Amino acid sequence: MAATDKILEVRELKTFFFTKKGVAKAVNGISFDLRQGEILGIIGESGSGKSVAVKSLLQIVAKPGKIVSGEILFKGQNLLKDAKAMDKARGRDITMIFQEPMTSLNPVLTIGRQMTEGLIQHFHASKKEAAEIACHYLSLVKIHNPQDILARYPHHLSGGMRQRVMIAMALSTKSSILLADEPTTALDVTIQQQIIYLLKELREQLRTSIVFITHDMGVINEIADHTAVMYCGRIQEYAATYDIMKNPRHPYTQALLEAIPSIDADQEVLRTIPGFVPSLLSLPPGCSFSNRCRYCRQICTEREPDLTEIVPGHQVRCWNYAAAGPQEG
Amino acid sequence: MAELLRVENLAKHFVKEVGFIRKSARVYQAVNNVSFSIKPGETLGLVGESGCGKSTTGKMIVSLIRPTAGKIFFEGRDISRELMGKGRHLQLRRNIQMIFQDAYASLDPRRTAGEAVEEALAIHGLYPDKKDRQAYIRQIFQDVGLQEDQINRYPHEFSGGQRQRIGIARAICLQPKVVVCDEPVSALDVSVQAQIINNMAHVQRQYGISYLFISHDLSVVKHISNRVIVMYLGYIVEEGGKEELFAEPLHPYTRILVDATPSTNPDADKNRKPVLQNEIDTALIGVGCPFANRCPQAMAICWHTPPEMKSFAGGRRVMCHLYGGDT
Repeated sequence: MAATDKILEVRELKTFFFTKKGVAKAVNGISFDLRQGEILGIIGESGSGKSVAVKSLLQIVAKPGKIVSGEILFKGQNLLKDAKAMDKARGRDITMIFQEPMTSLNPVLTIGRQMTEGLIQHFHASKKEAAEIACHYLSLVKIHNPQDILARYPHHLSGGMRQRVMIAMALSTKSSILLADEPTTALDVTIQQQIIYLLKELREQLRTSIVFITHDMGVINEIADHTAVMYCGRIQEYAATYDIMKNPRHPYTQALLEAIPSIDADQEVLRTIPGFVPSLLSLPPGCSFSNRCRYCRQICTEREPDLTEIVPGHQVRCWNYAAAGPQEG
Repeated sequence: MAELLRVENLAKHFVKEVGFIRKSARVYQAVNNVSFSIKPGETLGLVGESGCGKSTTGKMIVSLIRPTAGKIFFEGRDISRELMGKGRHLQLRRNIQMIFQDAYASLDPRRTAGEAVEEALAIHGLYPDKKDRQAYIRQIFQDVGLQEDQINRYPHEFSGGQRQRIGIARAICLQPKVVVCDEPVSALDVSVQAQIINNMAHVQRQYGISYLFISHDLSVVKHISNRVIVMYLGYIVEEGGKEELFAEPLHPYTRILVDATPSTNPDADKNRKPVLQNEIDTALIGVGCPFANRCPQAMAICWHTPPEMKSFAGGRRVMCHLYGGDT
């Protein structure tokens, strides 16, 4: 990583859902830094809080969800304290793309109308200028006939094309942070590969920082510079993606990697994680992974471990690595 | 080994009426000229991207969709006509079962897990004695990894993985010979997916079932299958033993698919440039190779002559002009 300047600092962010059945701590104190031009991968299963975490960055969490505490520092400003700064940044400096582009595009408006709307709003561009900018970004995402696409409606386009339009739209405001919530999950593998390649190219060209959410370890491996593994609302492990894949430390990360069949490995029987992800309303006491962990000890069911740096740049939340030093396994 | 199920030149063309004043029919060729066979106890993987006709093929085998043309043989007998009639094919349906992707949608919310299994037994007149039947259901639940006290619970009380276990229980309780599995683990979380895959392998060994395992996920198919078929735009483009097919894909499309599948190997080359261009073009069906417009190795012949399926030693088949074939 050449650039080391932090563009986004998240500190102890907590987003809870106040439901009739109790308080679900969907995001329970996460902290991370995002550097310029960095792709940060967040991996987790359903209910891990990964989507809520990035929605919290834009403060678009729907009720009964509420950001309870924490700091989101964007270019030095705390967006949680400064509503004006947030309104300015949302959709302009920090933009987002979603899993299913069809649900985020308006079916009755042309692509051109939707792409220029933000530009006119944020930059007071004229319609003609906005259309030119839109065309420029459409060609950046490898759409060869941008003029033609501007006049089309979303249903005219394939899933891969729609996602390209979404990416172009998100970048056209010269945004510095792109939040991508499972942008390739609904796509075929060949299209997924194209989108991943495209995002990496755009990062090089535009120096955009990307937060990339996925449940797919393979996708993380292909795209992310750093990876945060989330489970039950907390980051369990954080390191350079290479280290996460090569030398996973947290039992959950290890189990995840052993549980997936790999295209270039031979596994007779897949290692399974017993049980399933617990409900956020009834987390086990102590470490939230303790009831499924094969190394669970007494202390794991009593107190929750802290996220600790065990080797430079590699943080793990696990008692196995606390105090007594790392134990193999 | 004898063939258990054989499909010959299976095709499905959907006809859609378009236009209001001047009505005309538009034909969508979902499946074309598909032939393959499944041996007893083996798993045949069927991979392809959305719209390639893999689900339609599976549904034709369990007769949820009526084929436009082609034959289906079960234990050497042509069953394609029989399957479409009423009544007499009960025995056939018992032998060919299906597991769906969305287990929740395929379960009746007002019926307990036990009742879902019991219904299948009742329809087929198995275990008429209540005590025997209850004991058998307990046995099946145990086999698919569900607890005895879960027999009387309703679908909404289960997690996604457990619901899929009910789906498996319902399919295997009739002791079928073939189970068509349509993306059975695609909707599940990774940690649960492994449990279900292992359980399906366990049940297969125990009951000697053959699987037709349909999936878009090459990694999963590679793990579970003995042989693999690759479909593109309604055609089988390649078939082979899983080791050979993944180690040395012959068809350019298979190669691209294997290459595009994300790897968890940290030392893998992460700057592989995607080679697949353009989009699916149905106009090529019947005119040339269906893959010609996207193929990096397309030749002049590919545009105007449909390639034939060529067979090689070891059950390898490929539909591509690049290969001469043994026969």
